[in-house]
Amino acid sequence: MNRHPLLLAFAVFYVLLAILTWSQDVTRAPDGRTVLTFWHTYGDDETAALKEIIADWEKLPANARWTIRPIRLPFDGHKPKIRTALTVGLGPDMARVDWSFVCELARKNACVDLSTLGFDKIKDQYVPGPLQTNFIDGKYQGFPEQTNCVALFYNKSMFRDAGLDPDKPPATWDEFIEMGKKLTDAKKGIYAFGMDNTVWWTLPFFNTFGAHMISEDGKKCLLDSPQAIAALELKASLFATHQIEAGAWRAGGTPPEQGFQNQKYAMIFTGPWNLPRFANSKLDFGVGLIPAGPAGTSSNVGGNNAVIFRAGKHHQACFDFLAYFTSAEVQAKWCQRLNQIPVNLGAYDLIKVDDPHLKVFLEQMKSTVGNPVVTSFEMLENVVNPEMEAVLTGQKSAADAMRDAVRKVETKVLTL
Amino acid sequence: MKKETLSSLLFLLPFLVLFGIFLLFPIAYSFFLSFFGSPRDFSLSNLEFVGFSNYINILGIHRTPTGWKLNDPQFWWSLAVTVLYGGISIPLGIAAALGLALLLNNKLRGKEFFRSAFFLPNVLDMLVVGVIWYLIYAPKYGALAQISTVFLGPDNFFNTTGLLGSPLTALPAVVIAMVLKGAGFGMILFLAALQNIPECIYEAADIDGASKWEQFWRITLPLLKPILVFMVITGVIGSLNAFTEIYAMTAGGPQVVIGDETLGSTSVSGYYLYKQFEGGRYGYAAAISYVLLTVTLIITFVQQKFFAGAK
Repeated sequence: MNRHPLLLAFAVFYVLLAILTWSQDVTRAPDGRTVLTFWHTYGDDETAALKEIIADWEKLPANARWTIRPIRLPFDGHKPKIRTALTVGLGPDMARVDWSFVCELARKNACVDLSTLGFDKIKDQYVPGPLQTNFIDGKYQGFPEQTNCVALFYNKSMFRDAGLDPDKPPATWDEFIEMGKKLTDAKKGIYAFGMDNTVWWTLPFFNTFGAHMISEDGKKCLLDSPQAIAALELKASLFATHQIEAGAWRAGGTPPEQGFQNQKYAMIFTGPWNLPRFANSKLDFGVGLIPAGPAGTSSNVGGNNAVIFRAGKHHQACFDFLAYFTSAEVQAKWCQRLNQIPVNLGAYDLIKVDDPHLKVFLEQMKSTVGNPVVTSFEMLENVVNPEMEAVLTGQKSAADAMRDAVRKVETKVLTL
Repeated sequence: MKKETLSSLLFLLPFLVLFGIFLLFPIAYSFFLSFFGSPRDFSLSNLEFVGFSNYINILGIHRTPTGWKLNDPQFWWSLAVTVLYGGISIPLGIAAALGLALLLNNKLRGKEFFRSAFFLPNVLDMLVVGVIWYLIYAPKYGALAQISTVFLGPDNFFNTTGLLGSPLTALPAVVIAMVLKGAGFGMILFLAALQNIPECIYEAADIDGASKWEQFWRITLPLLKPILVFMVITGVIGSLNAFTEIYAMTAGGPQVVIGDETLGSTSVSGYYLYKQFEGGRYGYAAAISYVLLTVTLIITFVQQKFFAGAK
């Protein structure tokens, strides 16, 4: 060691630095407040708004003991990051997670049953669809935090060219097919519709037929019901029988959003996140409700929920913050500023929505139905998507495909 | 313990620690995991022991009213797809590499440029190459669709369905992309071996009246045998590990229905394993990985026996 005094000095300096900066309690802020960590996946604008909301909450006299520390995660990596953190016992106090992740967290006993903290008193103020994605095995395990759904985007100039009224999108599936035939010109590569073929994107079809995928107790798959089969038959007929769908779901097919932007598809299903994109590209487009089926119009539920982790020590404080964050007043401010759909029904009366397209989403949101609740939505997609593709390509009847899907879902998904 | 042994171990220690943590432990742990069901929570301790159930579910058969059926036909299908993938890609890959090497071994102007150009795709990441080929094959807007439309009109297969859209053409399309990506590497190996063959052997063959074709079959090919063996072995390993190209280009599809089973026409075993893991069936995925390891060991053993005389 005498030969390397510099190395020794560095080693001593490092050890001293570690000792001096060591803190037994990282959960306390310099001002003595207790830190509540909140992992989220917001973008830049949302993060700025979140910080202001946190500051407002911390100013309230009842919250003088607490400070929220928001930590941003990339959305694509948030599930593995949270899984790993929970495995090693270093998870946050609360987190914003994709709606499909709540079931896994709840069934693996990671998050708090909100009924024990007073959620029953406030649950009725939330929009039913997003609220339902938190209702796991008879308990509310998360707050609806941000929501969206898909609606029908249609190209007004293509409607005009086809001799259709640009202010009247199809209201029913029959009208959709009838208008679709007028809008399609396959020789020019123009189609009335471009669609995706995954479970989540097919939920609007199932929901407008009143079909449920999973029983309420989570033990049976109901995809072989007459409603589900009829919904899938309709979806397949758009491509195979009526030939008004472009095959956008096939490998290498032009994705719906790209086809819509390039004016190759006159109609697509998509969400409010695409409103700025299409507006910026100067498309003359409108937004309508999903065409009604036997059960009326309906859509799927997207977005995120917020959960409180069992491993944290301050469940009630986290609950109070999330209740404040999703309250009508705060939601109204948040959605007004960020052009989003409120999760709190009370906020609908408080916000002034000028965007006619967003108004349609607010309307569509009210008719959404909760998504299927399964531990692994990825596995559900892995199992059901191929069966739906077999129907679209005419290799199986909808009844056979759904019978096989039920068998696979019950053995591979509901056993997880 | 001898002082030399101790010091050797000390020098090896940093590597051994990393090897143990990041390779040995995960390998051993995944074997342990293969005897358990899906975890009931996020801890590593609360796992449901299921014995050999995962292995039985992968490899076993069961009786149905219509007869005996495989417990997991998708696994066996993925193995068959992997064999087919290797069966097409290995000979094609060797042929392409050898063909390029023979062409560039001549007195060709600018051959250095061509050697670099053919080798370049090998440097690119598999995912990048996969995405590029996905865009080339795409119907309507893909390069192949655009070119074919000029000659065949808009109703041609490349423009309407696309090579990746049909169960019959999707796997060969992936193979073509991967063969062209990997041909440059094989070409370099073959070129090096070709340049080591003494010219006098060909001169002697010329004097004996052997045609160019006979020279290729009786001189060139036998002297390239070590490289051929190497190409076959690495090709088999590559096929058994195939994942990224499928992930980037087809996601295991398009689907094909055989009997009443819906199966991914490009769902190779590596991709099938990934989908099980992605879906949260960790124990099952671990068991599949050990079944695949056994298959790999058997193939390696057979290869060793088969190519034993190649030296």
